[in-house]
Order: sequence, then C-alpha cells, then structure tokens
Amino acid sequence: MKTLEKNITLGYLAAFGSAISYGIVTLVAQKLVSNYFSPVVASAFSITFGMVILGILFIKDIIVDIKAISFRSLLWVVLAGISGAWGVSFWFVALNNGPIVIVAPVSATFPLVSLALTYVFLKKIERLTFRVVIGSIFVVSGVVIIASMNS
Amino acid sequence: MRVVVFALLASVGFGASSVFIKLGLGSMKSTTATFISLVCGSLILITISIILYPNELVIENKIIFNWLFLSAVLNFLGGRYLNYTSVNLLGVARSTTIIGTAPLFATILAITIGNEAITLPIVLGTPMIIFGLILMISGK
Repeated sequence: MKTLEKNITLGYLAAFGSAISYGIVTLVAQKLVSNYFSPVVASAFSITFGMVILGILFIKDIIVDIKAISFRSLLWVVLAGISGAWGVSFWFVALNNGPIVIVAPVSATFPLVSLALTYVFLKKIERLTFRVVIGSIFVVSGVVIIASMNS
Repeated sequence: MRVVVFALLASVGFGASSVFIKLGLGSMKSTTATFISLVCGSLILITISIILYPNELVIENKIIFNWLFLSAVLNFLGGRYLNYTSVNLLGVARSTTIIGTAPLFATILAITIGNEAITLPIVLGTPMIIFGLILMISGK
C-alpha cells in the first residue's frame, strides 16, 4: 500500500514537473524561433540534442532494456514517437495556415483526445472515473481560455 | 476551417502519443521509451527539415548551441521523460490533463519574469484549472 501511495505521489510530481518544463520551454522556443531558426528546424535540432543527451545519460539502462524488449512494446513506443512528431508537424502546418489565436486553443484540447482514446483502447488497464472526466473538462476549458489570451 | 482541422490533427497526435506510450511501457523503463520515441521523432523532423529548409541546418555559434541545449533539456528530459514517467505511474487520463496545464505555467512565468499584465482570461481560466485539478487529484 505504501509503495502504491509513493508511486502515485511520484507520478503527480513527475506530471507537474513535466508541465512546468513544457511551460518554461515555450519561452526558450520563442527565443530560438524568433531569432535563429524556422520552427520545424528548431524542433529537429532540439529533438536530436535531446536524443543525444538522454542517450549519454542513460546508456546503460537503454542497452539493458533494448536487449529484453518485446516487439509489441517496441511497436507501441515507435508509434508514440511517430504520433508525437505528427502532432508537432501538424501544429506547424496549422500555424502556417492560420492565426495562433485559433491554433493554440484547439491544440490545447489534446487531454480530451487522450481521455477518449483511453476509454476506447485502455479499458482493461485504466478506469476512467466521473471525477477525472469532469476535472479534465474544467482543466482543458481553463487552458483553452488562457491559450486564447496568450495567442 | 482548414486551420482548425490541422490544429485538431495536431491535438490527436499529442493525445494519441500518451496512449501508445502507456501500451508500450509494459516491458521497458521510461528512459528507454523516451529515447526510442526521440529517435523516431528526430528522424521524421530532420527529414522534413532537409527537404523544406536545407539552408538552415547549420548551428552558427556557441550561443545558439547553448539555447538548443537548454531547449532539449527542458523539452525532453524535463518534459517528455517526466511525462512518460507520470503516464506509467498515474495513468494516461490524470497525467495528460496535468501536463495540459503547461500554458498556465508559461503564463505565470511571463507575468513574473516578463512583466506581462494579468488579464481577464487569466483571472477566469486559472480558477477553472485549479478546480479541475483538485477535483481530479482528490478522487481515489
């Protein structure tokens, strides 16, 4: 029971840490895109740097894991990487076709997409409660309002 | 209309990524999953860059290198690695919703460091986010 509680606390810390990192990186990305590169090139460089840094830091873990990895897991993770790149690419395509005042709020709805996909594909792994669904709707609505303003 | 479709497609990509990673994390650590996803993303974005912006693929000085380094650390060690760790520990729904609050943190930074003004949308949006988070976190 204690391990479960510890894992949940760590999970929340990781999620908020990730949100804060993504929040800060927006400002860094603005600097890169406005002064040095087009958005796609900045992302390409940034993701390649990230791959090299992570590879150097966790080389031992990665080698051990890759030896024992199942093909099915590998496929899902590759799909995650492709869909992440898909998201970034279409985000830039959208920005090239219209104002950020539309793009930012619409793309901020991605947690609701995750929620719907979780309901469809992860029924056996994850149970969606009423609180989680309503909480997500409130959070996304608040973010959409703020994202519209930031645009 | 076209711009909304493209933005929705972006949203689907971001949203699906967490679900796929949850399915893949069964037999590997978050570090390995992050690394593999970065290899895939890197290949795709570098290919697009070579095709569309071949003249831009040069890092001209150390200052730009440092900015890229900072961006990579924040985006992929701080952002994506912790994102995948939280998906593994909390599940997709909770973790994605919390990570979706990133614009709020960007706004807080812009107000505290960038001296931006507090506007009506911030006053309206922030309590909604906090209420939603409390509702979600307080549940079992």
